[in-house]
Amino acid sequence: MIDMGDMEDIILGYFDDTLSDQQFELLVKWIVESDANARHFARLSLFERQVIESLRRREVGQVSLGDIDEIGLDELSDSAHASHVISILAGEESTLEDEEIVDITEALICQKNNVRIELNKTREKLDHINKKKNTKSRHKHFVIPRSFFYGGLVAAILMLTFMLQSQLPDNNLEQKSIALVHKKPVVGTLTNGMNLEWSDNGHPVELGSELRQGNFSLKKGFVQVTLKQGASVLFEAPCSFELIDKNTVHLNRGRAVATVPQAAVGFTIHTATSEIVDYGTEFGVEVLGDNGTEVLVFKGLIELRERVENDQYIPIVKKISTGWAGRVDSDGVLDVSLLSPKQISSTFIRKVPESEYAAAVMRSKPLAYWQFSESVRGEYPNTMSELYPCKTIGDIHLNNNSVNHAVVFPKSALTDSYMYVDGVINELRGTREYAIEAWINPTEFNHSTLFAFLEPTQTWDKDKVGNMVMMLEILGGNSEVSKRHNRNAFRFVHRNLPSSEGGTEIGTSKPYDLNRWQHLVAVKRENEMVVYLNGQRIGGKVDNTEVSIAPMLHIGRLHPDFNGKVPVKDVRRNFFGEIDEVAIYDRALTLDEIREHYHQFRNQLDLH
Amino acid sequence: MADNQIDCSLQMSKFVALWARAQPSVAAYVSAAIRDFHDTEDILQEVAQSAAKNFNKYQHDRSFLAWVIGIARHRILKHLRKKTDTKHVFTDDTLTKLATAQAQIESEVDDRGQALHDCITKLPSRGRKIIEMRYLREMKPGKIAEQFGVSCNAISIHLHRVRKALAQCVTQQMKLKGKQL
Repeated sequence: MIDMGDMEDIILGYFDDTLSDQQFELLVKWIVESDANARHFARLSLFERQVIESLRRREVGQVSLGDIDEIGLDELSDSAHASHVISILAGEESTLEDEEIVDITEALICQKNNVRIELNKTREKLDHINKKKNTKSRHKHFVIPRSFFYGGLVAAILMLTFMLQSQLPDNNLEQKSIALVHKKPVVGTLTNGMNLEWSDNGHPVELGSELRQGNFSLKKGFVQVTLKQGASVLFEAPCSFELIDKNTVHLNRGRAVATVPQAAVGFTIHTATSEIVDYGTEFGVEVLGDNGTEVLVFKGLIELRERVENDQYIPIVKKISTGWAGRVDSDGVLDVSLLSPKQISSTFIRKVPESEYAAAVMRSKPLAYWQFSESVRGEYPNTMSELYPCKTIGDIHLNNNSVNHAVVFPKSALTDSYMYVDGVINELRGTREYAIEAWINPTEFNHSTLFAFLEPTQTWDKDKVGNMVMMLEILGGNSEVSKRHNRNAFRFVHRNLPSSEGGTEIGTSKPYDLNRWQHLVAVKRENEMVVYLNGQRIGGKVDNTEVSIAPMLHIGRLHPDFNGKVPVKDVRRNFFGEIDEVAIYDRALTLDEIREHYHQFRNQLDLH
Repeated sequence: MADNQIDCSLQMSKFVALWARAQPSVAAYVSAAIRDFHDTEDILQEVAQSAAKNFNKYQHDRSFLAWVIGIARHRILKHLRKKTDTKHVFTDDTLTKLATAQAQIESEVDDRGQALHDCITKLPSRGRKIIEMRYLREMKPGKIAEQFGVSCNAISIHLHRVRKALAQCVTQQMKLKGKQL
């Protein structure tokens, strides 16, 4: 327990900058210990400040007014009023009545320009007086906002430019302008795009087009620009930006994701409030509505700097590394936070979508989205993030369609092929809402599992099978479960708690087709479960339970091999056919989203 | 005067009146966090400018002081991030706690300016000289000690005594003023 007298000594020591580190720690601890302590500190701070202001008034207060008399009140009538108000703002005076303040303020508002000029005069004169008196008081002046000064400067430059231009013959000016445009250097290349539409039709849209220094406004779609030094920047509409040089971009509004190879380290994005300098990485930048800036680092390191006047930048965070975000608001306030996997996966679209359908899915921000367009070392990457790559067991492979790939679950000697996500999906724990979306093309009527959420194998009993949280299946054949429902129906089951039986079960009214691509979505909402086929609701039931665990995801078979054993047929439920464009969400997709996705895909069905 | 000018004028007059009342508390808050006198004044000016600029965002059913101290807190944090050489710096949590505390004691802010003036006048010349060196010439106790040829500790103790004496004197003066009223 610290004695109050001792603590007051410590507080006063703090005011005098004489504390040791240990004493300072003690002070901070004491302040946060209770509201009463914090108030006590606040009271002493207030008194300290009042002493300072009282002393200053003794020395400076009378000087300013007295010397204004010497200068001549007539000459300074407006500015004397102004100086009163300014004194109030600076805390020097508090003796004016409200009515007087209103009068003064009105004078200030109505005669803004004059008063500003007079303020300058007043300041100069007071400075002169203070110099004469050798006072050391600083900062007792009202600063004309820098924006006003720079605004004036810009206006003057524009006016001068206009005056100069108006003296040139029109055709000459046009030629000069054209010449200037053509002189701008090429700083990058348009290397990818989807549904690209510039606000200004003059910009190129063909892949491989050279892009010159200058401003661009993206009205629709996505564009990827590769700068000459090697950095690749993906812009998502609506967005406006300026290509400044071969390694620098200014983002005025919207979103951009930069991928920076080693050769382009030092690549820089400027925004209204910040400068982001790269150290070889992948990061996303968004200029927010209030001109604040948010940066998410997907890989590597960046330095985030705050913009101050005259386009100077000061480092505020030395480095932000993988999985962290920094945000600078319009007042320059910084927050740095650790990102959740969900934020990493769903905040930015990090690659140009391959199609309108893919763009629509990405805009719905899935937790994971497997497009199955390529296999990397036997894994199928998640388009949204590095998390949750899809692994395969058995003979899963891409089809032979060179335009649109999908994964094939073959019926062969190796019938125990399936796909799975290594590990559990933590974002699903505790949610009452989720959705699974895919295109399926079955080749056989049988009771098989398309998708299943299972208890992690680590929790399974030695000789028992795992419990299920969710199953989305197609029915058929002679299984007992198939007999309970419509012929060749879809089956959607949700179980809380995870179990091998019970739960809420939907058997759909409509059957599935063989050898035809079908858009299937299973949605768990707060209070219901619904199955949609090709944008139409084909079954639903009430259920208000949640997902109580972080489950594993299996695709194409219900149960994995366990303890080196292949499970019995009833819990294998192998699917035969093709699956494509699988997305899982930790929220319920809306009907509008489902229909938009379906129709986007229909529009490009020729790809299938 | 056009209607919008009148509205603007009324808004600004409201702001000036509110700021005049809040300023001592804001100044106390800022100077408690920023120990450099000049930086404190700069931040106060920035806070006043920012508050004036954003006054249309202020919700009038809430405490103006709490709102403006919130702005001050942001400015302080921004400043402290730039000043990496500052020895003792309050964390964001501590600043938040102090912001709340300062807003809570708003009603205790009284007009003790005249009382303080009188009490300073009554101080022994050595005491007055020391606090003038500390607050007007912005000298640290060590520097003052050099001038007087005494130890830094002696000056610190003296400053503490002067402050306590001033506080007692002001309390007495205010009580007296209250009785006279």
